[in-house]
Amino acid sequence: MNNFFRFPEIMVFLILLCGPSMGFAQEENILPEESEFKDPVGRVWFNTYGNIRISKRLFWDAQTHFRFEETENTPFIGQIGQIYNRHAIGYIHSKRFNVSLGGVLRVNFNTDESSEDRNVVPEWRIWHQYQFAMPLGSTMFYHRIRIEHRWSQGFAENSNYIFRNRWRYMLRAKTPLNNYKFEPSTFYISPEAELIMQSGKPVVASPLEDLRLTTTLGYIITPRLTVAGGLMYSTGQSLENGGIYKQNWTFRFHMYFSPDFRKVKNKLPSIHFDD
Amino acid sequence: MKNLLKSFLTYLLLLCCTIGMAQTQLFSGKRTAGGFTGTAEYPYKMVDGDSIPDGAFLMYKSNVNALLKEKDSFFSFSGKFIEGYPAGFWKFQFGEFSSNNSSQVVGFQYRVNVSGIQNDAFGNLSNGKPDGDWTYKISRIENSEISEVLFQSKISYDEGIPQKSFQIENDSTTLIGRFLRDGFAHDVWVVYSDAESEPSESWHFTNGLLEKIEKTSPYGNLTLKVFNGLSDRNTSVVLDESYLKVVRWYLNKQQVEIEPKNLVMYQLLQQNAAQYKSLDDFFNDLGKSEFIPSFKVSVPFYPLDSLEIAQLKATTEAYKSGNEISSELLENPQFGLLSHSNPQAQYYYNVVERLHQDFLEPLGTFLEFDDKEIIEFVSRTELASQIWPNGLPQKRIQFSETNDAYASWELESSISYDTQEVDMDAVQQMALYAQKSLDTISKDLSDWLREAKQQQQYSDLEAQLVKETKILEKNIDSLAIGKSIDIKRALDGILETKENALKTYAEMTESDAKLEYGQMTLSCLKNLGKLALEVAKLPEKELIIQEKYQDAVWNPFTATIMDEAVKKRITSAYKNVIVPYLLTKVAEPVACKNVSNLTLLLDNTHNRLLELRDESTKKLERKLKKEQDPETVLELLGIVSNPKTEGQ
Repeated sequence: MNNFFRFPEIMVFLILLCGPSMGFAQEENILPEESEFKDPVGRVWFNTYGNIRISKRLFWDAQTHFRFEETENTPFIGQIGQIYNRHAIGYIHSKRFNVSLGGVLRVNFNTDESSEDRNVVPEWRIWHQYQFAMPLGSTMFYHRIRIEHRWSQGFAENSNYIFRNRWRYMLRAKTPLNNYKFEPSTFYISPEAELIMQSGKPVVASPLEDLRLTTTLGYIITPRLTVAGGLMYSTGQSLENGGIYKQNWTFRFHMYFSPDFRKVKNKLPSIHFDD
Repeated sequence: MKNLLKSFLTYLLLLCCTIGMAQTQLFSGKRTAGGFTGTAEYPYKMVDGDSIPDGAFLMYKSNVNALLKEKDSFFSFSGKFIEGYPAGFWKFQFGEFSSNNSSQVVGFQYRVNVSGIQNDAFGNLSNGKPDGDWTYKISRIENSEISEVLFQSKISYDEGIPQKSFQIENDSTTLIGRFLRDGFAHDVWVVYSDAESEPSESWHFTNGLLEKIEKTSPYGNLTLKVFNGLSDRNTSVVLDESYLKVVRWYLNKQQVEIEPKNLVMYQLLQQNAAQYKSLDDFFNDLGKSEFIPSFKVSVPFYPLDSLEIAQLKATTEAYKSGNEISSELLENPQFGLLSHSNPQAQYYYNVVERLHQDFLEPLGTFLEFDDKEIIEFVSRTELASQIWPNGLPQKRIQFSETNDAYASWELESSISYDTQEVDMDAVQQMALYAQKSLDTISKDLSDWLREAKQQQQYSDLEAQLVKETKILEKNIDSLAIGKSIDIKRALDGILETKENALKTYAEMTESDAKLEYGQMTLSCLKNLGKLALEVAKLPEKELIIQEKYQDAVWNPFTATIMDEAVKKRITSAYKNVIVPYLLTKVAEPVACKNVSNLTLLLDNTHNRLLELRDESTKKLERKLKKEQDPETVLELLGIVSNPKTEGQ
C-alpha cells in the first residue's frame, strides 16, 4: 500500500497556496478602520457530480451546478445566479489518491435587479485537483487541493476579462451513521472546511476569497448513486475592498452518480487497482 | 551371496533338467500351493491345457524384515516331479520364527538368533506315494537350537503301504506298532507314556482285526474285547475316524463308555494324519499324489441287501423332512411365545417336542451310522436294540390320564409298526409316522403362526413409527426456534403430513397393504426429517445466495469499495417467487410420496442459483421480468424435478 496520503506532498501545496497572497496593499479603495461584514445572503445550490469510468484508471469528472441566490424580490430559493459546468479527466492513481485536469464554463447571471448591464456573462477556468483519501476507523478523511486559473469579467458592457489564480484546500470527513462501513442504505455525515485563496494582478488586498464551512447529511442509495444535502456558511473578502467581508448561508443539495459502462469482463478485475 | 549361489545352482539344475526336453517350459515366480505362497521355480509341461510339473522343484519364502519386525512365516520345499507325480527325495521345512533383535557378525554374514516352531519332513516318493522311510518332525526352537521335539513320526512305506514297524511320538507319549507286508495292522500296538516304563495302552491286532484293547487306568487295568469272534465275515477298511467310531460302538455295546479322546492311540494317529494331509494338499495343488498313508485294519462285515438299502433311503428322507419341520417349529419365536399363552399352542408345542425327542433324535443316531458309511460294520438288529432298548416309541403320545383333548396325541393314519420287534421296516414306519405327524401339526399351525408373525411385524413397525415420529417432532421443535412465520408454517405443514400419514395408517384394516403402507410411512417420516432440515436451512442458504450475488464496486465519492447486488432479477425471483412457492407447497401440506422430490427440488434450486451466478444470464433476466408464475420461473432457471406434475 503506497497510496496513503503523503505529508510532504501536501505541504508543498499549502506553501504554494499561501505564498502569493502576502504583501499586497490596496491603493484605490480606502480600507475601513475595522472589518465590515455585509449582511448574509441566502443561496440554494443544486449540484450534480458525475464520475464516469472510461478505463481502468481514467474517469470523466462531470459536474453541473445550479446556483440560486436570494434577491429583494425573490427570497429564499431566489433567482438563478450561476450555471456551472465543470469537467475534467481524472486519473485514479490508487484507492487513496487521484488527480484531475479540466476546464470550467461558468455562466454568471446578473442578480442585481437594478442593474442595466448585461444579464449573462461567461467565465472560463482551467483547473487541476489533487485528492487524497485517508481512512481512520470507519471515518474517511479527504484532503483536496484544487488550483484554478480563472478568467472572469463583470456584467458591464465591454468589460475586460481579469485573470486570477485560485488556491483551494478542503478538508472533509465522512462518517457512516447507521453502519460500520460505507455501503448501500447507509446515511453518513460529512463536515467540511474549505479555504479559497486567490492571487493575481487584480487581487490587491483581498487574498481570502472564501472560507466555506459545511455540514452535509448523505445517503448512499447504491454504490453508484448517492444523494446529500447540507448547509454551508461562507465568508470572504470582496475583491474591491479587502476590509469588506461578504457572508453567505447556502443550502446545498447534491447528487453523486458514478456509472460504469464498460463491459463486465473489463470491469471486474480492475476494481482493486493495485492491491 | 548365499542366495545368489542358491539361485545360480537352481538355475543350473533347472537348465540341466530342461535340456533335451521338448515343450518344457520354466516356471519362475509367485505360486500358491497347499496354503503356502512363495517363490517357485520348476519346469513344467503343457498337457491338454494343464500345466504338469516335471523336473526339479523349488519353492521358498522368507522375509528378514518381517522376522526383525515381528515374526516371519517361512518355508522351503525341494524335490522333483515326474509327469506331475512327486518322486524321489523330497524335503519340507516350514514354520514361524521370531527373533530377539540381537545380531552378531560371523564371517561375512549377519547372524540373528531365532525362536519358534519348525516343521521338518523328508523322505522318498514313488509315483506320488511315500516309498521308503518318511520322517515328520515338529520342533520348538529357542535361540536357534532345538529345545523340544513336539511331534515325530517315522514310518516305512512300500509304494504307499506302511511296512514293518513304525513310531509316532509327541511330547509325552510314544506309539510303536507294526504292519504286515500287505499293510494290515498286526500284533500289539503299544503306547508308552514318557513317565511310565509299562505300556499305558495296547491294541492287539490279528491280521488287521482288533481283538482287544488293554488300557491302564487309575481304577485298575481294563481289558476290552472288541471284534473277537463276532462275525464270520470281515472286510478291510482304513484306520480312520469312522473306524474308531465303529470301535467305540462295539465297546459301548459292552457298556464300556470310552471316548476317542481317552484313546491316546487314536490321538497320535490323528495328529499324524493331519501332518500328512498338509503335504498331500501341497502335492495335489501342483500335481497328483496319494500321500496320505492307509493303515489298513479289518472290521466285521454285515452287508446291506437291496431291501435294506431302500428302507434306509426312505427312512432318511422321512427323518430329514420331519427333523426340518420340528426344528423350524421349535425355533420359531412366535410359536414359543404362543405356547405360553394359548393351551392349544402349548399342546402342539409339547407334541412337537416329544416327536423330536422320542422319535427323531434316536433315529438320527441310527441313521448317522448310514451317513458315516459304517452301518455295514455293525449288526442292524443289535444297533436298533441298543438305540431303542425298550422298543420303538408308541404312536400315541400320552401327556396325562385325563380325558380332555390335550391329554394325548395320535395321528389317524394307516401307518403301523411293531414297537417291540425292532427291524428296519418298523424303524422306517416310525420315521414316516413322525414325519406325517409333524407335517399335520405344521399345517394346522401355519395360519396361526403367520398371523402371529404379522402381529410381530406390526408391533416392530409401530415401535419404529413411534420412534421416528418422536425424532421428527423433536427436530422440528428445535428447528422452528427463531424462524420466520413462513418457515414455521412450512414446518407445521411437515407435521401435518406426518399426522395425515399416521392417521391413514391407523385407520387401515390389518392386511399386507397396511404393512406396506406402514413401511412407506416409516420412510416418509425419515424423508420428512430431511425436508424439515432443508426448509430450516433456507434463511442460511438465502444468505449464501445473497452473498454470492454481490460484486465489489468502486465508489469514487467515498473512495471505498462497496458490494453491489447483481442479477437482481434472478435473486428476486428466487426470494420472492420460488422460496414462498416452495414453502407454501410444504405448508399445504405435501403428500408423503412427494416429500423426497420436494427436498430434492429445494436442494437443486439452491445449487442452480449458485451456478447461475457465473453464467451469462442476460436473456434469462429479461425473461424473468414480471414473471410471477413459480413453475415458469423454475423452468426458466432450468431447475429440474417438478413435484407439481405428480399431483397431490
